[in-house]
Amino acid sequence: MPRVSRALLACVFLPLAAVAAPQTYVLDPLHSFPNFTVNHLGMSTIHGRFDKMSGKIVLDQAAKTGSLEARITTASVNTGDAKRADGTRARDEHLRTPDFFNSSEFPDMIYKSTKFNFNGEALESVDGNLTLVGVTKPVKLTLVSFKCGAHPFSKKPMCGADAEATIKRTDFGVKFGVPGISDEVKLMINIEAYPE
Amino acid sequence: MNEFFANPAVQAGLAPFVVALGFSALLLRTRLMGLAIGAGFATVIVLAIGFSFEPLTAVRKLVLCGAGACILLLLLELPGVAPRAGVRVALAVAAGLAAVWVVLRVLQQQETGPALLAASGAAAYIGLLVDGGNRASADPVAMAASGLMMGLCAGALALLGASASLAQVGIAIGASSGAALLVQMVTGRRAASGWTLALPASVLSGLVGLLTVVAASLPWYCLLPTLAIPWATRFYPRGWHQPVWTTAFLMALLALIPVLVAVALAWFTASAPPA
Repeated sequence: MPRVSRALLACVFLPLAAVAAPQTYVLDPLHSFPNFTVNHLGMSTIHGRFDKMSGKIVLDQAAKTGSLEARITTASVNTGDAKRADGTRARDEHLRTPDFFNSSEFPDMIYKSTKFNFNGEALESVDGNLTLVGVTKPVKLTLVSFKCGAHPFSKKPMCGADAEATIKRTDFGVKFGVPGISDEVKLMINIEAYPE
Repeated sequence: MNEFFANPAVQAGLAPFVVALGFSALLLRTRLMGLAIGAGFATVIVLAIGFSFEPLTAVRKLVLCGAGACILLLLLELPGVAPRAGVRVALAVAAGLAAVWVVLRVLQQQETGPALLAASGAAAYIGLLVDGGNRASADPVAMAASGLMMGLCAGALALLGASASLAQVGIAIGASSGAALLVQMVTGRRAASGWTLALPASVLSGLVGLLTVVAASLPWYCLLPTLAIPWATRFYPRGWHQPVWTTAFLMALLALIPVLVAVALAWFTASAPPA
């Protein structure tokens, strides 16, 4: 093939290849938080969140594949009871102990995807494994919303998602307080990510 | 019935106490009364924590150390094994090394300097506590009284340090040692137990205290007064012969003094205003 034709072909197909290539996105720590709820004494729902999360998403929209790895700092747990002045330890301090997250031994909770499940063009769910207090179990994240596009102000490309899952904490060996503090924990993860 | 055994007070207090009471009565005339404390400890583990060892967390290593202390007790009470200085030092060193092993995963998360300092502190604390428990007194009443206070102190500190399951373990050790003391008080006779009666209580309560520092939120200096618990019983006047129940009561009161100091320290640091 003449050199000119090859160059022409390259000019035509290279941009397409660039579009189809997997894109790596880095989680924005200021807009990405895992939240959770547990039932307390069968009476009410307690809300909490982790203040620190980092991770990456690799997404190939054309091939409908991708991967997600998120690392959550368990010591950053925040249920609105961080410090008390009355001589008793706060709930967040208790949550960091071996009764719950055992943060000093297991500082991170890690989610690694195994498969992205698309329904047409829409990312519907993510299969993966959650490692919590040293125990790894499969957890499916259901996407409530997932959108990629340009940032409304900066016009930079970005992706955002809201995902949910329900886990049983006893599956991970976190048995303290069951059933007064429910075994089932609902996780809600909101993510915003920008290209690497 | 399940609801009854799910009650934390039953898991940590009543059940270990009843089990240890039975074992203490059975073992009163043997040299193995320390095993009654091990039985009480096993009871709280069955009811509150469970015998699972994967992954091998610090709390699960503590369970293995409890089992190890009971096996050691059996070996040390074999005929011909005397409480020589070398044996006591070896026990203290082994306890110190066990403490480092228990908190190893936490130490691995730290920089080398602070990790070495923490490891040295952990080994020294447990070594000194175990040595104190073995050396302070040969009187089984004094050993049971100091076991009672070491366990209750570890439980109270864990409660103030925000870990309820560690508090349960500490309280169970106190309740079990209390059962060993009560059997001697009620029967009016000292146990025939050897010098190892305090071994399970000192190893386990020391590890509970240590874990409350490294895995919960207890300041390390709150543990220092607990080192005086076994020695406090020595203030009981020698040669002052009283009925066993009086001696037991007074020795428990003496051992309570360092407990109160440790708990007060923990209480006042916990009640410091938020930074």
